[in-house]
Amino acid sequence: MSALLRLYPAVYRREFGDEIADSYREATAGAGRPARLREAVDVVCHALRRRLGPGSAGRAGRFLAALAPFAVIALAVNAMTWTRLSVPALRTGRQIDDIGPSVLMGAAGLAMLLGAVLALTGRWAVGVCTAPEVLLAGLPFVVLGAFSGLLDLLLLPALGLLLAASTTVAVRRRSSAGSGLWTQKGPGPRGRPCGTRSLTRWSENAGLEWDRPNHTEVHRTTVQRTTAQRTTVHRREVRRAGARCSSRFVTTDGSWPASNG
Amino acid sequence: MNDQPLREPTLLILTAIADAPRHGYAIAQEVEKISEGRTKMRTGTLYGALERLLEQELIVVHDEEVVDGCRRRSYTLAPRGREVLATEAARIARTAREATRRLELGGFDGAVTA
Repeated sequence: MSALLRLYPAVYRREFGDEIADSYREATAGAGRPARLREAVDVVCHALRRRLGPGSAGRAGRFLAALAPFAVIALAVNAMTWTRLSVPALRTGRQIDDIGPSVLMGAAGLAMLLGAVLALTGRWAVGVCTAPEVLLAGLPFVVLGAFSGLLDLLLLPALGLLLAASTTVAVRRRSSAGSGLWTQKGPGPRGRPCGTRSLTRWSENAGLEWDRPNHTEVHRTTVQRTTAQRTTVHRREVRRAGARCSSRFVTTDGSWPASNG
Repeated sequence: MNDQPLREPTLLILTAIADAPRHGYAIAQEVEKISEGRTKMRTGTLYGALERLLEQELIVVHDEEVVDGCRRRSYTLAPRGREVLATEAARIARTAREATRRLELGGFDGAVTA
């Protein structure tokens, strides 16, 4: 899992890494290999979206989202053409040097075609996840192409694939561009781990408000946080059963409001 | 938030935390239960959605605890999320009532009576 987490941007990993790892661990506990693989693929796709994705709240994102079906269709046509061109070369090739690029070209074309078909039939995530695999598989071809003048043949499909990937991200992420998390907008140091403070100290100011259900004391209070953009009030509840505290107060910018400290 | 209906994953997540705060995997389990197994939210998809809902201020972090050295947050509806979910639930209920009413009218069964 730690290898999968490293695919995320560092700031995002610090913010959500623990939770994602925890959720992944619970989701795959006792699961079979296919289920574990599906979870892993989903995490990889999410990490790639975090790294590549334009949000569709912006004009560029909406434009790309509208363009997505056309991009995938263009990619499919291109891949079909590419595959068709490589078949005669495979038939007539006599030496490995001759047919090597054709084999790679044909294989990459078929994989891209498969990805495009999957994406067009509604399996967007699976279809677009073929992108890194195809690009990886096509790496030797890029090297060969660079020396044989075939690079231009690769360029258009590669761009198409990247476009399809980014548009898919735009379709899937219908929210505003950028991370936008309030924890990342504030004056506190970016990416700094949350500060913690014990219940005892906090409860001096919070006070007990009600005592149910489950015979659990619940302390309610609010945390007001002012940033350059806005003031946000968050209500926090901390449950305590007997002398044992089930959680600790945590602020997300590593500091405490002065009025409660 | 515009007047467009909520997408199903959003609706399911908001519904999953409407009665009590839940952490990531618990939300995924609730979503699967509410949708009667039709929707299974995998980890990456779930956190993409949670992040979006945090940005839209439909949910907030309710609590955060450290379990075995790992941070675990639970999420709950923000006031705006509660309002949006209530509006959507009312809309769905209205549509369902109208669909039921029209079905109960009996009506057209494909045959034309003279």
